[in-house]
Amino acid sequence: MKAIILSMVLSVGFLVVSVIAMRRQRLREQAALLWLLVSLVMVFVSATLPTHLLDRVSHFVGIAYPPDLILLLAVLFLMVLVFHLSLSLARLSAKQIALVQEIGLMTTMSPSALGTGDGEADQSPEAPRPGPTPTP
Amino acid sequence: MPPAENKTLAPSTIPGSTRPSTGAGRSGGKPEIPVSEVDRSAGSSESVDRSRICVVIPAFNEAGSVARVIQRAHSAIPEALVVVVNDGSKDDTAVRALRAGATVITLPVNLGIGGAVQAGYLYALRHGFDIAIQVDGDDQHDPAEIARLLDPIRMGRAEMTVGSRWLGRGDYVAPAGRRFAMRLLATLVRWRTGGAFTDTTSGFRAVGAQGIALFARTYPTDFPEVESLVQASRNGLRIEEVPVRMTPRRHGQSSIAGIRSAYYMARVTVALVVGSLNRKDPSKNKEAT
Repeated sequence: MKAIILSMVLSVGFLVVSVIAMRRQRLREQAALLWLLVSLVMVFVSATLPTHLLDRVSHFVGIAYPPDLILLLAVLFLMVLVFHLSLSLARLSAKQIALVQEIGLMTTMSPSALGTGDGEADQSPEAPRPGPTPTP
Repeated sequence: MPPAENKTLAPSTIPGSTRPSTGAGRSGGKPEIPVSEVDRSAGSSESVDRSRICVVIPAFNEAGSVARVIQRAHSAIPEALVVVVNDGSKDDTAVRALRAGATVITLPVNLGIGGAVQAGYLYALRHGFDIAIQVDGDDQHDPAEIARLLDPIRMGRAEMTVGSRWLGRGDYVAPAGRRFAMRLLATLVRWRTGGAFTDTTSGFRAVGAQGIALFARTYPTDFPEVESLVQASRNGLRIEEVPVRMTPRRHGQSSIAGIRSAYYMARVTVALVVGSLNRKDPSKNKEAT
């Protein structure tokens, strides 16, 4: 019985935390939905512990030791999640590269800006070879 | 080809920055007018006459050598616009480049060589350049050799040229390990492109308008030379290798040394092998000549 109480407390706690994060808009909709689902599944598994649902399912899929089913599912879930995050990271970094390049292009300086205090934005490509400037 | 690519801004949006200095920069007392002309017509390349060639120099903390490279580029090809892409340098690369007479694109954070070079190609695309030449900022490439890179493109024999240090000019020597790695890469590239390239890691290149548009749209990030070569070839660009002199670097460190070289090989190999699985490859595997 103690196990049920423990896992119920943890699952419900997680559910509450994710709802709070959603309310405060700390999570984007997609992620919020995901974590809501995850916590509901956790609550469901905890609540059905007394019915031996877990044992029956793991027996059905041929896993001798029921907790292994949970571990397997957890590992799979985490792998998929990390892969998904890896994809998002790649997408973000591609966007970031494009933005940085865009900023660079917007703030392009030509040699004529030297010493005028005009340390920024001269988009005009100068005539090729602007007047020879002394070099150190 | 019209630069109607993903990343192209409408030309009118280019000068549209909110900075107050924009107008002043435009009427900056230059006798030649092409300044505003080029702004407006960025993309329609035929109206831009004198500034059709730009030299793109990616530079990350190259204050020690960038001015020299710029000067040599200027004297090698006076009609070209020299553009330094200052890739988030911590030193005064930008100021030195400006003083040496280059136009400077400063990236606020370091993107690495691929992102920096691509910024240069974007610039070339938006401002309607016909040919972009890529020269390293570390003085390894001799800008005096630029003419050799230009010739095949000007004559319409190729859309891209790569300066090779192994075709007899100069006396560049590489350690045995590096030579082996380069041979391996050449084999991989031959498998992917059908072209026999001797110097696949050379960053001393020139491309015509087609290559500018291609690289502005998509360019590999980390170790771009080999991959971009394959990419160009598979997109139907005719690529010609040209013998050039290269000198060992004087300042700073090669970006590829020690353990990183193993990582480099692994990354490039994987990129090429995985790239070969890509069905969306637009090419019909044209032979590189």
